[in-house]
Amino acid sequence: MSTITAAFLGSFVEVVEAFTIVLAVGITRSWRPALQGTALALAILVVLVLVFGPLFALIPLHLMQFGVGVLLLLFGMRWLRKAILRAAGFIPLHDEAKAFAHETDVLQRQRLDKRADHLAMIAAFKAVLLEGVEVVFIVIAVGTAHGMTAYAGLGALAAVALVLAIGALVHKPLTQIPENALKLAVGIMLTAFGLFWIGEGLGADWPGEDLILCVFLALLAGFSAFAIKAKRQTGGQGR
Amino acid sequence: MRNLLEQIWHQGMKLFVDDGALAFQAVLGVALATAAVTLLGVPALWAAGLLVPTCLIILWASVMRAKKKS
Repeated sequence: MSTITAAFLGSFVEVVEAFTIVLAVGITRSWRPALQGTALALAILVVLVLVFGPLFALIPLHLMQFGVGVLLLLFGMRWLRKAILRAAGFIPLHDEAKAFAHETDVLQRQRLDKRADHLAMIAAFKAVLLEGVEVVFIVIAVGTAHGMTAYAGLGALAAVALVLAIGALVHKPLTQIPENALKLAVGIMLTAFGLFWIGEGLGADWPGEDLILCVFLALLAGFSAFAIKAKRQTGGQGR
Repeated sequence: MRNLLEQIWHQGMKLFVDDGALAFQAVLGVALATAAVTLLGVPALWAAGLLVPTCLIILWASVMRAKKKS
C-alpha cells in the first residue's frame, strides 16, 4: 500500500506540473502540437521503462536494494529539504498559474515564428519528458526493490488519470492542488524507503520488518514539522 | 537538440543533487555505514540504525544553512 501511495503522490505532483505546460501549449497554440509533443515524450518514457525495468531484474537483490536505497535517500532528502524550505517561506511556492502565464507568454511571442508549431510541440515534449523521467524513477525505485513495479505503475497511472480527469473538468491550471504538502509527504516517504532499503541491502533485519517504515515515517514527519518551525524562526538568515 | 539533451542531463542530475553538500554528506554517511559493516564487522542493524539520525543531522544542517530566495 505504501508503495502505491508513494508512486501515486510523487507522480501526481509531477503530472500536475507537466499538465500545466501542455495545457498552455494546447490553449495558446493548438492541441495538435501539444498532443504530438506529449505522445512523443510518452513513447520515449515507455522505451526507458522497457529498457531499464528488466535490467534491474539482473542485479542481485541485496545490491539492488542498496543501490535503489541510496538513490531514494538522495532523491527523498532533496524533495524533503525543498518542501521544508518552501513551507518555511525560504523558497517561493511552485505556482501553477505563474508557470502557465510564463509558458503562454513565451508561446505568444513565438506565434509569428514560422516554426511556431514546432516550438510549441518541443515545449510540450520537454515538459512531459522532464517531469516524466521523475515519475519513471519513482515507479522503478519504489517498485523494483519490493518486487512491486506493477503496483507502483498502477499508482502512477492512477495519478495521470486523476490529473487528466480534473484537468478536463476545469480546463485550466490546477492551482488548488496543495503541491508543497504533497511534496513534503512524498519526500518523507521516499526518504523512509531509502533508509529502509539501505538497511536491507546491508543485511539488517529491521525489528518489525516492514513496520519499521511507520517508525521512519513518524520520525521524519516530526523532524520536518520541527525543522519548518525552527527555520521560520531564523527569519530569512542562513546560518 | 543539444540544448534539449543538456537540459535532460541537468534535470537527471537535479533529481538527486540540489544542495551538493547534502548529497555528498549523505553518500559519505552511507559509505561509512557500509565500511563499518563490511570491514569492521559492525552488525548491519546498528550501522543502518545509526544512518537514520545521521541523515536527519545532515538534512537539518542543510536546511539551516539555506538562504532565502525571492
